[in-house]
Amino acid sequence: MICERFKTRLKDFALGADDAEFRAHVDDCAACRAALDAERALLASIDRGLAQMVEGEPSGDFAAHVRRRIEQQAATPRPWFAGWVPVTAAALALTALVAFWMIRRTGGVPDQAKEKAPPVNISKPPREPQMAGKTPPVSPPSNTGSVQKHRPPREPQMAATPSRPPALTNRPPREPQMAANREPEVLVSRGQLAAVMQMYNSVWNGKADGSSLIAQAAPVEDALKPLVRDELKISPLVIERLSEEGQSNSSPEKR
Amino acid sequence: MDALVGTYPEAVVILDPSLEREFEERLADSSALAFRVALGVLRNRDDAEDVAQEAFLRAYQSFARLRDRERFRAWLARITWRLALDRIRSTRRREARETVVMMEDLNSPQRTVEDVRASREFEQRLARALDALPEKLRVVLVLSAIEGHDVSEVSRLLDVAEGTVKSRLFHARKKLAEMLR
Repeated sequence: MICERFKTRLKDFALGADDAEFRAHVDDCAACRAALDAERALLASIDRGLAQMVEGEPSGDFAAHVRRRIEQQAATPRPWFAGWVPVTAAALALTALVAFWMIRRTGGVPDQAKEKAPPVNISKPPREPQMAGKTPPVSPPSNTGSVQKHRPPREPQMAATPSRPPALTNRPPREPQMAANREPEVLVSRGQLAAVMQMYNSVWNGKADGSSLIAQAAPVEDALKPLVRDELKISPLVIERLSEEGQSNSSPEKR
Repeated sequence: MDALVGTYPEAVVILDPSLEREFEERLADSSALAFRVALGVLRNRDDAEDVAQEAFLRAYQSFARLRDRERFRAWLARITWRLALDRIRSTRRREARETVVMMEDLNSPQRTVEDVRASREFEQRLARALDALPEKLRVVLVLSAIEGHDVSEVSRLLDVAEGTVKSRLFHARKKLAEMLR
């Protein structure tokens, strides 16, 4: 029966641990000495078993086999895509890098901003001009010539452009341009504009009766009648012969 | 371009004549090391030889930076160990390994049947206990057995301090003794 207090130290001592106290004890204790011998025998068996496990030499033609395998590998044709693998990988990595850089540079559109952006209806122009109430409605050009120049209304270009949050762009707000695009652009003289504005405000505020203004200008029935024009008569073109001095005897053209 | 005459993608290398001679020398003096490392893991001679050849094939491809003898042996031991572990994982040939151990025992001269039976049983238990050890402890035990328990040589092969090798050897043998007691 080995001494209990040296039970663990015996195993470590057998493995080579330096323990002077246990060495002195083993000299006097036969049981511990026997246990130590058994432990050393077990360790010796382990070492011997391990040595047998790795004992051996490679075959005589080992080097020749290695040579043959080296030659076989050198002669093996590579697959056609083997050289493209690193190139493709590099190209993909570069593409991803450029895409990332561009997203970072433009700032991107955050999801929240996308959600808050109003829906854009490309097919429908805006229903109400933004400047309504500030700018009088412009009547179509008449034969009186009060409107000097009339341009056809532009297409509402901005309506087709998706709106962006102002914080994400450095551009100035486009409200004036939007208004210009939504209204037919008419150029009138300043006096005419003031007169039309005054009339509009009067009608709008109830100070003047718009229908009476129209009635004074012309009867409603006449206004509703289709425009009738006299048939345009064109006389044939007559060109008289020129005299030798280069002057015609009468008027140059007669229609 | 003194090291390589021609280099092809996928590491197909052709060495120049001086390096070829050096490689032949390494092949001659380190083939036993590679074979025994593989045998310590696989415990099958055919598999061990195949893995050792594979390790030399890889060593050939990287030989330009492995000219130093000590460095070459350490690298070769490590790569052989990894290849042998991969082989074990891919093809579980435990049955074949045990059969080989048994046949070698029966062929040993001057041993009684009882001796052979006891020895075979112990070797099988030892092999199982060795496989159960952590890899760090197992590789130290195998290399120590190969190198005749030369701690300094094992530390060079593993590129770790001698104190580390001693500590790992201590714990590895202790664990094996506990499992085999």
